[in-house]
Amino acid sequence: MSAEERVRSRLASPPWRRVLAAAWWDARTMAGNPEQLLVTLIIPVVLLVAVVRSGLPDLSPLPQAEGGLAAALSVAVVSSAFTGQSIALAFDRRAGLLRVLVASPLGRGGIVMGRLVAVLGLIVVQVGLIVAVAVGLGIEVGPSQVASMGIVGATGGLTFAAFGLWLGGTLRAEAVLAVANLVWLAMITVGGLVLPPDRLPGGAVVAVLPPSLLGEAMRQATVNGVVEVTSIAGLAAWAVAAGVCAARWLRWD
Amino acid sequence: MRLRGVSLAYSGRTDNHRQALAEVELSVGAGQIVAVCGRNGAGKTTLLDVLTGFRSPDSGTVRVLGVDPWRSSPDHRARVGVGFADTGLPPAASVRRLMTHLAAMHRAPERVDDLVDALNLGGLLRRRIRRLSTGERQRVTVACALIGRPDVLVLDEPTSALDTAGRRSVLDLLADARSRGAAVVWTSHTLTDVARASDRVVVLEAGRVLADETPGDLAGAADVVRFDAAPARDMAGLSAALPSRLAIREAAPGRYEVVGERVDASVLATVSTWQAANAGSGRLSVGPRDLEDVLVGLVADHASGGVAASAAPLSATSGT
Repeated sequence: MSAEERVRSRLASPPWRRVLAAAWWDARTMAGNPEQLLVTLIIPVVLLVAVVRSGLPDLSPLPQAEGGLAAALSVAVVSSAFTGQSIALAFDRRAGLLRVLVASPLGRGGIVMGRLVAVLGLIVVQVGLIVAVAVGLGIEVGPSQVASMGIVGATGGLTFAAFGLWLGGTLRAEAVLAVANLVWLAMITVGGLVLPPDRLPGGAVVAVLPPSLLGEAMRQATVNGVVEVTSIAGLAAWAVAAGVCAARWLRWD
Repeated sequence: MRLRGVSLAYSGRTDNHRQALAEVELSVGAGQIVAVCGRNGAGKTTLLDVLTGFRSPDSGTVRVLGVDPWRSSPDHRARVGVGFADTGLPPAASVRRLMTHLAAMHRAPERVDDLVDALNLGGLLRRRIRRLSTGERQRVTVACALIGRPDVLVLDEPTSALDTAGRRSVLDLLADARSRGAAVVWTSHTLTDVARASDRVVVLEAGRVLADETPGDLAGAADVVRFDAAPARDMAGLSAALPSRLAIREAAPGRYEVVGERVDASVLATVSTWQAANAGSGRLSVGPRDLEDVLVGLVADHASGGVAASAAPLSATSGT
């Protein structure tokens, strides 16, 4: 080995390459898991088709089609950012992969960044596919709506990814699997992700919780093509809180 | 690598306060291989965790390549190869995918195919890790640790679960790393490998360094007399009859050892007489002391505050 090669061999690859490699790894791991594909893509698409075609649940006074699209997108975001992320992290912890990656040039910061980038990448794919299905169902989706959906999806993705890191980095893998799926179900049924909070029991409380904030912001994005600042600010506040908790309690082994 | 006065304790609801490392001093230079040995729970893996920046000590200083590994940069970590026994391997990934992923963290990594050849992993590249045998996973772990051409190599039990050929290939890789100037710290319960591959042996017990010597110095010039007798016999009479330079212990139920220098005919006669009086078979053997004898003796000495009387044998499973 030449002296120049020797020096180069001592260095880590550039940060962007490390993070992209980690993100690609995480995205492939999540996408390659059949259960995760079910919750991140198949269920949201089925939900969209069911809501639009059957008219159930009744989302009035929202337009049924746009309300269904918002529900499908919100469920998709939560599935990849929270459920998928927490479960993948927990099982990587159990396998000892994080222990190795912490000691590698990727490090703790790179692991977190890679996972966030993976979540955002998956959300882009999800939004693209679900919007394509929506267009196929005859729903009109304009550029302002797509842009708003992207902003809301990214904000919601980061927020729920922070919760996913907190959950996945704290409990045992089997417990994470159970808790993440239960919470996912609760968010869909009574959390305001699909139905507006004023139609749910305890609506005043539900309205300030992250699933409801995401659902409301997504409904505004699909129906009116706007980014609702109040909900986005609420999501951002929850993201900070969850991020602080994750930083405090996340265990790498 | 240099550790000065490093202490670390675990505490928690399920794991009561336990001193994993206590005032540990360790220095490993370039081109040296140092083995860390001791019983399960002695603190070996915690020591490696501290060296790799996975844990921060409660007190003391740690320097690896001149840097505190807890606050290390990516370029620093690129110079440190890490492998933990049978961990760090995601079961659903293929061997090639994992190695390529780890290689992407380095600017000029080792070629995956070269490592694969060196560790005889060629036929396994496409196989998912969950389909590998324990020994095959072990070799993959070592390959992953070497992928960045490290200047410092930290390996936790890299030869456990390997057959003879696999152990030799790993020991050859350690020797290769040493020959190109890498500092290597590794743990093992296979003391013949430790004696063969290491420049120094550090013996840990309850987080404390009991010894830090070359394998030859550690083994010393002592001999061991091994003999059988009924289990759990009072050894006070035998101890009184033997010269004080000799230590006696029941290594396992019914299996006794007398360890020390200048084992002569009178010693053997005394042992034989005691054996006959304590339901022994009459068979005894004399041989040079090996590292296992030394480690067991050191641990027993530590446990009994300096008097070797009995000790559990070293086991061969994963550490702290």
